Amino acid sequence: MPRDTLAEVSDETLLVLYANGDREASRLLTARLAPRILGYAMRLLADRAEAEDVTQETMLRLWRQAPVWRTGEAQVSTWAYRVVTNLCTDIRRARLRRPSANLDDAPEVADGAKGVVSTMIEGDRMAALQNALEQLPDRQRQAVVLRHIEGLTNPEIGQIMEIGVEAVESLTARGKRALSAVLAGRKQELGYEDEGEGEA
Amino acid sequence: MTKEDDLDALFAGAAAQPAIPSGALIERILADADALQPKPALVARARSPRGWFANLADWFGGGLSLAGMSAAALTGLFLGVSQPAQLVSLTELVTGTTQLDSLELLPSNGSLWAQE
Repeated sequence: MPRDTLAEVSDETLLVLYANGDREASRLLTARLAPRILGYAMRLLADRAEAEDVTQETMLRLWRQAPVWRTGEAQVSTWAYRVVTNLCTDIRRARLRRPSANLDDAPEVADGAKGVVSTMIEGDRMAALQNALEQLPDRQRQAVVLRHIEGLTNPEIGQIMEIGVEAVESLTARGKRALSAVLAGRKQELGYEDEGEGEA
Repeated sequence: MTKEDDLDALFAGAAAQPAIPSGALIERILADADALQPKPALVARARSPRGWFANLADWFGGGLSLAGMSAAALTGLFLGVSQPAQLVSLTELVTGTTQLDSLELLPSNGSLWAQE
């Protein structure tokens, strides 16, 4: 089926088309899902190489699932986010089980000293956010990223994390409070006070 | 950082920077997709149990041929047994022979005694 025709088609329909032998459907589905999966995995793992492996594995599982996909039960993206969440949880647990992590294994996050520069740029702020996310418990990190960066609704997050909406709200609220506390000490470093003073 | 707006601004900044998969990653994903893509199923005709009649029909070149040959054989038998008047006169005209009411292939005992 031509790409123009497929552009308006839902993810689920693309998956069915893929299962029926349409190669273009897999290209379009990859273009839609891979950036979202990779971005989410990078937020959870703070390691691009591992996040790429998770992305490939998630898509691999999707291709395997295609012939037996039950239409109408779940969105493809929600299913993919759930797979990513579980894979990343396993990877982070494996990290903790390692006897000693050397410097090369350390996640690619900004350290505290790096941010002490005279001119704060957006990259530093993003690195600081990532660093702060790293300090949250797994479930809070997942909920906060899905809600505030991936932009999903609480019911969608509930499906992904297999918990109720109230539990999602609780996790995101606690996660935001914890993030604020972590970042509070770096406010000046991140340039927010300077901006505030400039505006005043 | 205590203001919620500042945190929301950070989230918005992060959301505005989508991850871009490398070309190598896309190639790996698509290679998996091609390798795992189901092939269109070939619809094979189910083989039904074949009886002796189907085998006989095959031997004669199909059911239609067998039906034609059967019809011809039955027609010939009918003509031979009933001997229609038109056919008898045609036979006499063509062959110069007359109709046979009976043909004695083996002489009966009676005819043998008669010769004696």
